[in-house]
Amino acid sequence: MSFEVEIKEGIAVVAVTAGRLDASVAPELKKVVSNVIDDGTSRIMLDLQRVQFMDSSGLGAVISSFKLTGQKGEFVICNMNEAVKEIFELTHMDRLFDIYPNADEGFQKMCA
Amino acid sequence: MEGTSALVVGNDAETRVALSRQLDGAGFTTMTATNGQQALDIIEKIGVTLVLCDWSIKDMTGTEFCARLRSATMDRYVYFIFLGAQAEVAPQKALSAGADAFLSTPVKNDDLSARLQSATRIIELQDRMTARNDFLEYAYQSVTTDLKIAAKVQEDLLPRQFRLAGLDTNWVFKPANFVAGDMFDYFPLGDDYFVFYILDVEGHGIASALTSFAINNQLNPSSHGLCSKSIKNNPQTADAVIATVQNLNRQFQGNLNSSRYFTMIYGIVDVTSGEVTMTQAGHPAPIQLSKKTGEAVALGDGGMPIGLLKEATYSTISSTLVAGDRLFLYSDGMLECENDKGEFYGSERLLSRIQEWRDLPIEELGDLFDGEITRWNGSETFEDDVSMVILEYTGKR
Repeated sequence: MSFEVEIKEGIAVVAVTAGRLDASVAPELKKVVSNVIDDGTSRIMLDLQRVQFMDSSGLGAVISSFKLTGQKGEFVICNMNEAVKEIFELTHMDRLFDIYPNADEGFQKMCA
Repeated sequence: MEGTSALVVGNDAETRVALSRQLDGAGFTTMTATNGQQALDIIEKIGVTLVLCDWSIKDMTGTEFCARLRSATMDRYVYFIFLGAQAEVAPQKALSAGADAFLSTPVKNDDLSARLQSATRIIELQDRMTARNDFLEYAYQSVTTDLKIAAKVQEDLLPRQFRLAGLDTNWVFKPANFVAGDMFDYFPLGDDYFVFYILDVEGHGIASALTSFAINNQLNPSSHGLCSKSIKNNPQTADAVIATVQNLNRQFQGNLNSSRYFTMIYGIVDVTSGEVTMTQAGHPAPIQLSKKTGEAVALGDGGMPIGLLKEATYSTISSTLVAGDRLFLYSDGMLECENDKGEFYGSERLLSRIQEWRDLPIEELGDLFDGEITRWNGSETFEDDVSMVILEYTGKR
């Protein structure tokens, strides 16, 4: 497993445990998020703390996961390192997501 | 000899005959040898699937014979049974010498027949595995052959002209796995414009390459000609650029299960004025090298990839090229190429090389960057597709 899921107060925190979010783990992310939604949670926080490198397949999986949560759901991201942030900026995806420097802050904003 | 062939090795003629008879009865084609060397010759020349060997043969020890048999390179496994008096040899000793089984002499008919049944099962399993391996090898070879043909098809789509009205060009193309999700092209459009693009479909390999072929087909002036239509319908170059990428974004929207998007730089040069208008759809920033100052600068601040979001909007980057200025377009496979220490090639290194080689003719730059990135990578096998397009504005018509 390259992911850990913890559900607290109706929010699913999906933590990536792999160091590289690339083609080898991208399909698993979509599956994990899809399962979380099927189980009734559509408010998701993706925690990228352990991700050192993300490639185009990883980005594709994040966007697909975001699309899965739909209009009523919520999808935020926290703990991006500089390299990952650069990819989000290059592709203007930083304008699409609520991005938080750490999980606590993201959690507080989602609960507010 | 194919099928279930057996070899009986031993000193005693009577035993050899008796064993042969029983093996024949069990469906084996049986041969006999009186010593180790003769047996090894038969195995080498004819091949057998089962060997029954006396622990003590004339010219070598049973252990030595078994070791020599096992060390020989053979296409199929040989099932080896040692025969010997229990008092003379411990079964464990026979097995550790490389045998599959040990039968004590005098051999009882029932023991031998039970052992032969077990040997047959193993031999059959072995044959099935060999057949499956042969099939896999055949399948692999035919897939590889097809991929080589596909790679040639893709290579043939790449531009072959390097001196066009107003611009000289060069490029680098290194697919990660025969065919690439990276693709590029450039061509004059009428007398006034020069169109160029480079794109990178998410992932790499066959699925990405097929998408890159489809996009190329949309843009190519001799097929769908999306570029020329956009220019015809939009008097302003910037509008024409945006119309093209928006059209692609509509056409290449994936569904929820597949998000095969691509990044791209698409641009148009006004050949007379040197004005270049381009859009950066999530692709690494184009680099402009000034002939006059020798300075290389990355242009643009990103943009949404194509095929990811229906509602994506695009903007353009404008710049002016004067004679001798160069424009470098490249894929992330170049920046993220790792050396043996796990360091990325990176944009800093690329910028400094572009500046360092500013006085070299453009004809040499393709090979130089090819060599540079291959050295950095440490081999010709790349993790991701690497591509680069170099344009030099000459202003000459």
